Amino acid sequence: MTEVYKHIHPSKYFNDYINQDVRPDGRDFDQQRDVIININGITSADASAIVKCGNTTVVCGIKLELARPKAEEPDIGFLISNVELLPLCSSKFRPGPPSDYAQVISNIVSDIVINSKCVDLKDLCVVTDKLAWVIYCDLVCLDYDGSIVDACIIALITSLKTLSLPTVTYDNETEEVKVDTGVKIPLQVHGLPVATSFGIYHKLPRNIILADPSAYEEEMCGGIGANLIVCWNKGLFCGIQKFGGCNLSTEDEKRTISLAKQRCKLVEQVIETCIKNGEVK
Amino acid sequence: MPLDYKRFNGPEDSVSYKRFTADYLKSYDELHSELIDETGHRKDGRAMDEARPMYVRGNFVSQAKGSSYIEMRGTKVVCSVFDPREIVHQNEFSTVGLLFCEVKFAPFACKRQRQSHVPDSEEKALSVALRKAVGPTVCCQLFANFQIDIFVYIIESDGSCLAAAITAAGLALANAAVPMFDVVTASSVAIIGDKIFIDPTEDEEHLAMISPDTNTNHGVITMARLNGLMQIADFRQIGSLDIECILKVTDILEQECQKVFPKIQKTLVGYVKNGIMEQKRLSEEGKAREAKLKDKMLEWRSSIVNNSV
Repeated sequence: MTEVYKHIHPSKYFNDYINQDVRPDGRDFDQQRDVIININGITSADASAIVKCGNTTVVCGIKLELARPKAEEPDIGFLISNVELLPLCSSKFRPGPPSDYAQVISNIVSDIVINSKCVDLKDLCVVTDKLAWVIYCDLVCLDYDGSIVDACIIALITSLKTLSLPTVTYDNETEEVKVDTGVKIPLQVHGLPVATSFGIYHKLPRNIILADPSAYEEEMCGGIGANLIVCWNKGLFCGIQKFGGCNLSTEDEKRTISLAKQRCKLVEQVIETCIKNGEVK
Repeated sequence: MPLDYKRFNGPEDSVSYKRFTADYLKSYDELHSELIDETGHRKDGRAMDEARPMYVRGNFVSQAKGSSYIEMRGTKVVCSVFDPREIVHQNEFSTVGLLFCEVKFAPFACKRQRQSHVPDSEEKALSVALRKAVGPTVCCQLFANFQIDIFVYIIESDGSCLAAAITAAGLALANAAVPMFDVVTASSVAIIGDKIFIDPTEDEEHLAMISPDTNTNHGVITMARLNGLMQIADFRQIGSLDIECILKVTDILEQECQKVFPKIQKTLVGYVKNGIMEQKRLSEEGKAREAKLKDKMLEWRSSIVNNSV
């Protein structure tokens, strides 16, 4: 019965829940969904992580390649991350080249990771002007249920943390490259950026802030994607983005920032325990 | 190659580091001798006629109408099916519904090198093969002028991808409650000389394709079967084989498909059971709520009567 009601009166259905101070999935407004991480599940990738935030599922696989560094920056390597929103993860996405939305998400994720300087690109250089590592991080969404950026960042950072680079020997004279996969050096990851998404639902007298919105809630808050993304990096504030939707008061902004800070600590713990458990195995 | 402006691209000349490892430059004979050890077991410890253990589940993608996930050790496949939708840009009425299939590899799916994002011919071929294999089982005449989308994503590929994709698509279609004639399952074998590898891994498939000698039997066969109707939905053979071998392999494949069948059935029956239980629970809850409402109504009515008296 409720399913029918949801389709006939979508906004009234949602409003009824909000008026009772609860969300359709039973969460409080500030409550976030549980995070589940699985590392190195994919053996064909050099490092991988599968992250679930509620129903949202993101898989990150890292492939390592070698290339000549750019002539203008001979001592740095490459870190390339792409987010793929597959048509199978939601009926909102169609097959073909990435949609505008997918490109926006790709950009946000890449910006956060590069700006937080969690990987020093100089570590990726093997021989100056001759050889450098290229880290291809492909993030794939298998189930789109909102707050995709949060899941992407967690998956990316977790897999970077578990990545180790094989040793490379480069002969300057013959230009011969030899890779020894027996000896691997873990990649240094300095920071730990964590993004938190919020939806802002327009309601009088005050707008309602929904932490970690699901796909349905995002839709109710005005279109596809979260309205507000706040990013913390180990106690450092590293970015805030607001996308359309309705206005945000200063108190609400402060509250979202502190909520994001709390979540940052929590996610950090989850990642640490997960990696520790993975090492024991 | 045209540049992809919609994604971040790495340097053009980058090559996988595996290219420089000692394993890369092994000859055919070396690889061939590695496949089977002295006791007649394969690299992963299986016997020649032993398929990998299979993990099957439905309802994997919350946003899809029906979906499934299949894992056979190194091969991991996700499939989702959406509601039938009207065919866009079509000027003629079609009496049968269409199936649209898309198979995609994850960029990190293959051990050897990174897959490009742009769809290649292999993905296209797999998509067509999947459509042909699933087509006979869907009651297409029931949704004229509509199309059903089937998306398959190969997260990790370690051989028998097409077989896994077909089985996953069959399960996802049933999970989405699309009218079907039968459950479709698939299985594949690789043949190198007189050896038949059931449910081959990537290495075995690779060797079966590149045999330098055309006179000996070599190739990969994938067969999809409708088990209840005992019909073959699709038969796909690559490589050169003699007829006796094909006949022999067909029997083996039939048995293998039959072995997968109960697993799919069991999963589906499980979901039907859960659905019925859920419905029962909901209707009971509804009744309880109605009874409560009725009591309240009576209370309210009696209070009005009392007040007026």
